[in-house]
Amino acid sequence: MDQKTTIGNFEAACILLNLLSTKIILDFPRTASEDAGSAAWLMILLDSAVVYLLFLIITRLYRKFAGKDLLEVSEKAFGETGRIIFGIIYLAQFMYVTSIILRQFAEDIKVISLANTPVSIIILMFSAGMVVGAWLGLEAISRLHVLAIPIMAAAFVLILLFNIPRYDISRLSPWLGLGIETLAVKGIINLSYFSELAALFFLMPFLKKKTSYGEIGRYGVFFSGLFLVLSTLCYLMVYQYPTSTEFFLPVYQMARSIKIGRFFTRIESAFILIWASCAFLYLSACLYFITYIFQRAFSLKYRKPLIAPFIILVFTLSMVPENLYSALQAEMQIYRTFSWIITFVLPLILLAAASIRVNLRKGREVSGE
Amino acid sequence: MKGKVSWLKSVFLFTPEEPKKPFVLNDFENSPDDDKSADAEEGNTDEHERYDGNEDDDKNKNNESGGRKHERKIKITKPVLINETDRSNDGEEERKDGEDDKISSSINTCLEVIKKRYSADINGDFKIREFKVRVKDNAYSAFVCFFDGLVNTSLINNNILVPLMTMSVMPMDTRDQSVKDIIYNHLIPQNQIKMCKTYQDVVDEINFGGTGIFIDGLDVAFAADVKGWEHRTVEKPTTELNIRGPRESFIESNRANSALLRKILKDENLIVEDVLVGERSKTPCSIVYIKNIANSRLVDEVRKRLKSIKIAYLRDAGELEQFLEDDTFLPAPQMLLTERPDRVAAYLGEGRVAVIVHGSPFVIVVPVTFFNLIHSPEDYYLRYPYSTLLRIVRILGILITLYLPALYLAITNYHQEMLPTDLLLAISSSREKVPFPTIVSIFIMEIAFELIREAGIRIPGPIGPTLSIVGGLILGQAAVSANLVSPILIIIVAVTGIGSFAIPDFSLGYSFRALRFIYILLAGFAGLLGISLGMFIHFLLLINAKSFGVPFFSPIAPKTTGNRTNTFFRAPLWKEEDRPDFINPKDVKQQPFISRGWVRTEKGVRTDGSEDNNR
Repeated sequence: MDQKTTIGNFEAACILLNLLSTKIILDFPRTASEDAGSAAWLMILLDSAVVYLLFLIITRLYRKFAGKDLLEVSEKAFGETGRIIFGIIYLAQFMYVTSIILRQFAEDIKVISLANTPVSIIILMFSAGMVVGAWLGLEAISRLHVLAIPIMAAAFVLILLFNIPRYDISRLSPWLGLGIETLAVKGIINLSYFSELAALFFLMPFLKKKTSYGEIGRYGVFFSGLFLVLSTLCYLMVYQYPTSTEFFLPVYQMARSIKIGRFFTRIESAFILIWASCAFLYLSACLYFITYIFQRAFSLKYRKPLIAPFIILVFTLSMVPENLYSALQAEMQIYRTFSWIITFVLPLILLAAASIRVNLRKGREVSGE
Repeated sequence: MKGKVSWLKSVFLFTPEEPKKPFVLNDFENSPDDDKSADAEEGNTDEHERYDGNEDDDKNKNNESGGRKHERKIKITKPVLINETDRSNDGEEERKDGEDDKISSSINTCLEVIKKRYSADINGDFKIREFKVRVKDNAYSAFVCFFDGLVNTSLINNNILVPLMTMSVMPMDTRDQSVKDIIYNHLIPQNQIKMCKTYQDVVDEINFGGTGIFIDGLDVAFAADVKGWEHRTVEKPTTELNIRGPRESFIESNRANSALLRKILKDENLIVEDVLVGERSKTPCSIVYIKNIANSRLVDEVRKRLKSIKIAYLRDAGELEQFLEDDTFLPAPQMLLTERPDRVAAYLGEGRVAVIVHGSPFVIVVPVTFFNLIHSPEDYYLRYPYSTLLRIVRILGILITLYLPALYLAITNYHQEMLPTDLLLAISSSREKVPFPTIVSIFIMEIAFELIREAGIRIPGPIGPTLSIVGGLILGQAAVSANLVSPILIIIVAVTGIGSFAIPDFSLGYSFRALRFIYILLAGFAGLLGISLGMFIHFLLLINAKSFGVPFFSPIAPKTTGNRTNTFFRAPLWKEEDRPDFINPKDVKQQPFISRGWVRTEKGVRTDGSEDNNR
C-alpha cells in the first residue's frame, strides 16, 4: 500500500521550534549581546515581533497555495527554470547552515567533554545520526521531535530557574544597549535568527491540515521568540555586557554555574545528553530538507539515494573552516547577514509573482471564455 | 543481503563465486529418484573404470550419464515453490487419486486407501477396527480408524461402536430414510459428526484427534470428533505473575484457550474464527475479536496475513509472531504474547485482535504500542496511585537496564567532572587495583551475568541451587578479591540485572538486554555523545515502527486526539471512558461519562447532567 507521509500540526510546530531555537545552546545569546550590548533581549523581542508580522503577510499571500511547497510556488511564478534556480538557492542555504552548525556542535562537544577526540570523528558520529534520521524520513523525525522537544524545553527552563539566585536586573542597563541606531540596523540583519522558518515552506505538502500552516508558523515563531528572548534576557542578567561577550557557550556557562547543595555541583555534563539530542534532531531534519529540496528542484523520483552524496558534501563542507572561530565567522558574517533575504524577501517576491501570474491566467481564461 | 555479501566476497577474496544450489523444500521427497540417478551415475563410473576396453559402451553410458546429469541439473537448479513441491511430492499419489479422492462406496477400496495413506502396516499408533452394521435388516461391513492416544477411546466405544453395532435393533421409524441418513440421524449419538465426501477431509479430521467411520455401500464417510489427548490442566501463569487478579493461564489447547476467553468475556459478539496455518502441520489457529468493537479492517489485515503464510510446520505462537510482524529487524517486539486470559480479554474489550495458536500457551495480541508492553495486568487490579507508582518503578527499571552501565562507563572515562569529589574519590580508590579498563570489566561482569541467567533457565532443577552459589561467588566477593572488577561495578551490574527483571514483557526485556551492550560500546567510544547517538537512532527506529499499521509510540508520537491517560501513568478507572482511538474501534466509548452511578458529581457534572457549582 502506498502511504503518503503526513504530519500533524503539533509535530510540524515542534520541528519548527527546534530549528529556530537550537541556536540558543550554541552561541546565540553571546552573538546577540555582541551586536546590541545589554539591549540584546530588546533587539530579539523586536525581531520576533517583526518576524511575526512578516509571517502574517506571508501567510496571507500563501493562502492561494496552501499545500504547495515554495518550489511549486516558484514554478508557478517563473516556470521550471524558476523552480530549479530557487531550489538551488534554498538548497545552498540549508547546506551552508547545516555544515556550519554541524561543525559548531562538533567543536563545542570537543571543548566540553571530548578534548582528545579529533573533530572529524565527532562530525562523523553526528553524520551517522543524520543519515539514519534522513533515511527514516520526516514522519519519524517529526514524531521524535514531539517526544524530545518538551524534555529539552523543560531542561532549558530548569537551567534558567536554577540561575534565579544569580539574576540581577540592574545588569540590563543601559536599557538601550549600544544605542537605538545600532539596535535598528543590527535588528534588521538579525532577522536572520529566524531564517530556519524557511523549513515551514517545505513542510506544507506534508501537513495533515493543509490550511493550518499559518497556525503552525505563528506558534513556532511565538515560542521560539519567547525562548530566544528569555535566554538572552537571563544570560544578560547573569553576565553583564561586555563580560557577556566572553563565553563561547553562554547557556553551558549558565549551566556550569548551577550549584544545588554540596552534592550536585557539576550537573552541566548531564546537559550534554540534551544538547547532543538537540543537535541530532536539528541536523537530521536539515539533511532531510536538503535531500527533499534537491529531489523537488530536479523532479527526481527517489529521495533516499541522495542521502549518501549529500552527507558527504555536508561533512566535507563542515571540515572547511579551520577552527571554531572560522566556523563562527562563516555563520555570523555570511549566513546571518544575508539569510533573512532568502527567508523573508524571496518568498514574498515569489508569492507575489505567483499570485499575479495566477490572477493573470485566470483573467485570460475568463476573457477567453 | 546475501547477494551483496557474496558479491563483496568475490571482490575482496578474489575467488570466483560458485553458484549455490537453491534450497528446495521437501526435496527429500524426491531424493529416492535422485539417489537412484546418483547411484546410476556412480554405477556408470564404476563400470567405466571396470570395462576400460569397451569404448563404445562407455561412450553410450557416458552420454547417458551426461544426459541424466543434465536432467538432474535442470531438475535441481530450477527453484521450486512450496506449493509446487507439495503438488509434485505427494503428487503422483494425489494425481492418481485426483479424480477418485472421492470416497468409494466399496469398503475394501476405502480400507485399502486408508491403509496406504497411513502406512497402517508400519504405523503402530494407527488403529483400524472392522465390524458390521445392521440397517434395515441388511448387514454392512464397516470400519473405524483413529490414532491411539489422540482420541478418547471410551467415546469411540460408547458413542460410535456400541450404537452402530447394537442400536439398529431398537424400534425407529426409518421408512423413508436412506442408509446414510439412518446412520447419521439414529446410529451415531456423538455430538460432533462431519459427513465427508473426500478422503482428505476424513484424513484431516483423523490427524486432529477424530475418528473416521467408513461403511460399505456409502459414498461418504463420517468423521467424529473424539479428541482425547493428554494435555496440561489450566495452571498458574509462570512468566506473568501477579498478586492481585485471576491466576489462570492458557494451555496448549486451542479450544481450551478460546473457552478461557469466553468464560471471562461472556459476549455473543466474541468471534473465534479458525484458520489453518502450515502446509503440512495444518496447525489450527483462531482469530479472536469482538465483532462490534474491533475495526473490520484490522481483522481483515490479521486474516490476510495469517492466510498468506506459507510454511511447512507451525509449532508455536513465537514462530507465528515472526511471520506476522511488520519489521523483522526492529529491536523491539511488535506484538504482545501473553499467557494470561484476563489480559487478552481486556485487550479484546479495547478493540484489539488476538490470535490463538494450537500447541502454544501464549496468545498473540495485535496491535500493540510500546506502552502496552510496559504495562502489567496487575496495573488494573490495583488502586491507581499504587499502579502509577509501579509503572514509574518499571520505567526506572527499563532506564537502568539500558543506560546504567553505559552511563557509568561514560562518566568514569569521559565526564569525571560530573561526579561530586567524594564520589569520584570513592570510585577511583575502588578501581585502583583493577588492571582492566572499565569497559573490559563491565563486559566481563555483564557477560558473566548473562551466562548465569541463561544457565539458570537451562539448568536441570535438582542442581539449580549450585548455580546460584557459583553465580554468587563469581559476581560477588571472588571477583572483587581477585581485583578483576571494582565493588562499585558489582553494584552497577546487579542493579542493571534487577532492573531488567522489572520489565513486564519478556520479549521487550530481551531487546533491552541486548541493546545495553551496544550502549556500552557507544559509551566506551564517545561517552555521553555516543549514548546520545544510540538513543537517537534507537528512538527513531521505535518511533518509525508500526504494529499492524498502528504507530508504535501512539498516542504520544504521533499525538492522537483521544484520551492519553493510560500510557506512562494510569488514571482512575472511572476516568477511562474511551477505548484507544488509534486502534479505531467501532465503538470508542467503553463507559459513560459518569460511570459510578452512586456518586452525586463526577468531573464537575451532576449525575442528572447539570453543572456542579460546588467546586
